Amino acid sequence: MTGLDIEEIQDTRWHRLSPLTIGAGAIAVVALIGLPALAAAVILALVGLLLWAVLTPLAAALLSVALVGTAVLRYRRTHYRVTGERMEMRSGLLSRTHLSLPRERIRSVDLATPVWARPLGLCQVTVGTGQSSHSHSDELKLAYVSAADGDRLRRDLLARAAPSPQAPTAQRQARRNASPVLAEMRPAWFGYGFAAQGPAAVAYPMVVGGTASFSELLFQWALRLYLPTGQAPGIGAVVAIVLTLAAGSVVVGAVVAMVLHIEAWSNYRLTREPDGTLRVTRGLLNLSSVSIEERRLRGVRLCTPLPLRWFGAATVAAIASGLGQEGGKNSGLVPKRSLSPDVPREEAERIAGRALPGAAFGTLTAHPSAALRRRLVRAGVAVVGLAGATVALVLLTSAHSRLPEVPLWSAAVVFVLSAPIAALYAWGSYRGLGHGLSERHLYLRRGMLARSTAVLNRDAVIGWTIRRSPLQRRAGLATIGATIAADEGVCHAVDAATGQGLALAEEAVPGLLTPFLERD
Amino acid sequence: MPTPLADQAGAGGQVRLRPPRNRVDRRAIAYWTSRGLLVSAVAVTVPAVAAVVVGGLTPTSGWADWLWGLAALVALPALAVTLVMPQWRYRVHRWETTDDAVYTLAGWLWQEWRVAPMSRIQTVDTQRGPLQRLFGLSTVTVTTASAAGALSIDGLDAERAAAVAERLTEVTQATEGDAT
Repeated sequence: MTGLDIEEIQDTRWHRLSPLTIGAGAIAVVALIGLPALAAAVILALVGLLLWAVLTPLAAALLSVALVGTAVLRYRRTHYRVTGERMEMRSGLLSRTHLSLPRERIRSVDLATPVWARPLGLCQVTVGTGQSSHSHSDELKLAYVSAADGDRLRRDLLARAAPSPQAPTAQRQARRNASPVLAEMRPAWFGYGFAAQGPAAVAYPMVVGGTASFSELLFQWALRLYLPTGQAPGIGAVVAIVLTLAAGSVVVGAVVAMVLHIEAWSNYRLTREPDGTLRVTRGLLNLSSVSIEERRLRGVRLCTPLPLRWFGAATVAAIASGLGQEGGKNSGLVPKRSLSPDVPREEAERIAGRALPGAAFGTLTAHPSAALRRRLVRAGVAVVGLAGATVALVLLTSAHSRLPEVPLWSAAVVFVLSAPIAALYAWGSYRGLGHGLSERHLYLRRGMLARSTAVLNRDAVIGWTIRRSPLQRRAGLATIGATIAADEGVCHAVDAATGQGLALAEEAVPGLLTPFLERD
Repeated sequence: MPTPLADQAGAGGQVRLRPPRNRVDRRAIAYWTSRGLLVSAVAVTVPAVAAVVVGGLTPTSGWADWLWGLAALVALPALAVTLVMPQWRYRVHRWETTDDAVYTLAGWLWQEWRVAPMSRIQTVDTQRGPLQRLFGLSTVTVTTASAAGALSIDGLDAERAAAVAERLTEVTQATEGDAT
């Protein structure tokens, strides 16, 4: 730890959350309990149930008092302070907890401002050490402090967490107030929202579910619209209506996804902060700010998942420790690791290159044809298996007279339909494989549907795993894994030629593998 | 001998990964065999017991025969694995420590080579399960900051394991590096 700022040493008093949290709680109680109770009382009075008309608001009032009282108690019993060495929080109404994080362990200070907290000028602060993403004991959450306090906490805690002793003081001073903008939202990018992963994963199931549960109603309504009453619908009308409903729900899903995407990514901005962090700020109504310590940044990932790859889009994500596992419960609509929304591929490459200086995306070395053969064989096995299952179904239905008979030609249909899809998938997976090496970075690409290129800092690779299955041994292939202190802990070059892969590993981290290699 | 990790197919076939220097203890074969027997026994006993019970309750239903068939279906591969796996593993499993790195090879059908530099090692543990204790064996596990990078040497003589762990701890403490 280099020189302590005097003002920080003095600031060791215990602080409270913003008193406005009580106000916010009261507003919520009035809106959610008070108003409905009042409306109910008026209705009950009009109907003539006078006793109930008196009792309902009374009960609501008691409940409100209890809730507001809890909010007041919570406010009075939650304290936090930041000393030279630690950040501490005391909280809890009945069972008290005292959480204490050493400041040198603090890896992230994230701010979130829900839409209702904005007029009150509040924000939630999450301070994380990134030690383990599974337990909550490494995370300290202040809900809510004033936005100014939140921003001050972010700057103070991160400035302490990431001192750069090598940088000359003058240079640090000069950089202190400048945060270069690496990327900013452009309106055209919102167009990708209809298929952006997070929003789409929420929107389409929601709309499809909604359509399915109201299908009967919608169907009746559509029938009445097109046909005079009493007439029996023909098969053509039914097909037309079903198709219209399906298309309609896709369109509505796209609109919902787009709206969610715009809400999440408006005002997007990626900056390099003077305290040595990359900071992603974004949000239209609900604001969010995520800081990723560059010292913990092992690399970046250029993700080109399928529907949007066809439209030339890509996203950039950070590979860093302390961001939690993929698909963890904190991932939400936009995972914490995201460094950019869906943008055109060249833009994504540019953003990746700025976030991780030196990362450039040239052509990667393709993997040997044996890797393609493996994928084609797998596809063949899957197709034959599917056709075989259909034949089994045919035999089963013909043996039992009670079941409706499935004709034998359906197996042929299954075969003919699935074969090209499986072959294309195999070809795509093979095309997805690749690796490369530049002066400072190791590139590993894989995947068909969720294709992504991991760009790792070569000095972030902390070991190798080389895995061979019996079939890989026969084909002269190996899966080379570079272990890193982030995410799942390893990035793979899948099905590389063994010699090629070993040469890559040896060159990427000089000296580590060399004593264990033999040459002819 | 484990097959040397060589590339017969590609043009870059000049590089080969040599196996680590040291074998594990011979008693590991007995340990793996007994472990295989235990797992097989459980896997076979469950359907077999079910067959006896079902056969006793509904002697005419024919379900018992199916369950006996299932037990046999499980028993054959389990027995084969128990016979083949330990020898195969013993031929594959190897380990080595240098001043700079730990190097292990493990597996039988699926084989995995792992390397971790000393400067990145975070913890060194030895574990002894009840079955391992019976054979006087230990497992040494070396972890790094990577969630997937742990190396373990399975089936070392207990005293040897303790010595290895002690040496590794000493070396890692002497090595510069923040282990991240």
